[in-house]
Amino acid sequence: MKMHGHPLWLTFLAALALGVFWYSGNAGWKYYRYYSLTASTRPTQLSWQIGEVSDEEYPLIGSYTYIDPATGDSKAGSWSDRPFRNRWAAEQALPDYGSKEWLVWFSPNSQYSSLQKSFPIKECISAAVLWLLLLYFIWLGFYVTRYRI
Amino acid sequence: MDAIVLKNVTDKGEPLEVSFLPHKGMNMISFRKGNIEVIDQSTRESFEYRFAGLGALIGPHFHRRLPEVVPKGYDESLFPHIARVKSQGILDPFSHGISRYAPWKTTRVEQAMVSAVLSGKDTWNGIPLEILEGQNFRMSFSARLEQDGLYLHISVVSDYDSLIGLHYYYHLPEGRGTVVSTVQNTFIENKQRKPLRERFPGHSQQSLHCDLKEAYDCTFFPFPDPLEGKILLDAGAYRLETTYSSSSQENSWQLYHPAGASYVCIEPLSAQDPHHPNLSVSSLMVHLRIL
Repeated sequence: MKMHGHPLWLTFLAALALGVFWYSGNAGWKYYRYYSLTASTRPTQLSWQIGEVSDEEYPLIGSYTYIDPATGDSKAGSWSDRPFRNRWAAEQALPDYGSKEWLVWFSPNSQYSSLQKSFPIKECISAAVLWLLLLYFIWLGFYVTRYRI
Repeated sequence: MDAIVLKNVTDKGEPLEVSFLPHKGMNMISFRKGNIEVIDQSTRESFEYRFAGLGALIGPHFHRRLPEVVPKGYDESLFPHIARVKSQGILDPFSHGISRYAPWKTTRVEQAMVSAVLSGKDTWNGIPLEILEGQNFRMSFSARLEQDGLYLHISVVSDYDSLIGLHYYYHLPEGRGTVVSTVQNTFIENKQRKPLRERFPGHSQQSLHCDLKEAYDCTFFPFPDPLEGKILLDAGAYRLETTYSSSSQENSWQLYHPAGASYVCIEPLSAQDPHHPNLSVSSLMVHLRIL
């Protein structure tokens, strides 16, 4: 069996493959980070402040410390949720963030920690769909050659 | 109705008077110079029926939202106008935004000025306004009646993109009138941006002259200063000059006049495309002068 060999077709497949690898790598990295957060504890200290990334991006940044129960070491980290559209909206949300009971999720084998442990479902679905698309086009390349369309 | 009435006199000694209803959407129910009333009082019925008419506000959203994004999950019987507008086939219970319906909180009242605020955390019949509007927001309104007319400052800040504006129904006592302005050479009609010459072929460049014998529902953009619009209404018995300014080019003004209607609406707005606003923080300064 031979693949359709037109250079434009192969360039298209290569570009698609690059996208697939990029999305897969991103999904894999986020899954690894998710998977590595195996322990959780209450923060010993947590404070929130409003950051300013741009005129339309104001994230709430949580700075925290926690004690690793296994080693007794005090560790620190910071985490920010998706940004608000303006400073006022961030200020409105500040009391809710401040009153919420937060857990620090951390990886016992590294310094990585977070205030949120969420499965990267969007990234995984995007990568899966792109893989299906790539496999379909590879199959199409062979199909076209086989039946001389 | 407990109206807040602001009074002043012109430099020629003519009395000026403007009335607002803070507990009914901060509606400007009357604006008078001497015996001239510029707000179309025949729209009062529409105001009492569904909060439209007279001097209504716009914001945080424009016109009617798509049914899919209209907030649900509250007792609609608490707001009797909803059943009335639904019987007319209008699916957005708070068309043009919650600001024209809800009770505003006055923060300052003097003989010739009033200021008020409206927040998504305020409640109306026990329901937070953010539930009714679908987002948290804060709007402010201030009016100052000077010798040379009414100065308004309105602003909004919200979780998502929004806008503010005026939807004042100006009276055409003689059943006719003209609206004159200079505008950019494109405008929006039926949600489509078009060249000005397509609808106004005889007009010189950027010069707009609308004879209110025809129906209009168009969005225009100010020219030559994209941050300031000046629109002159000649209603025969009086002339009204609307000057508005915005801190960004996200602004426009809507001309609304159904054929044969006894009113025309000249609506400064803080969005270029009012159906698709781009800012979560915006404000307008408006000066209304009866000539």
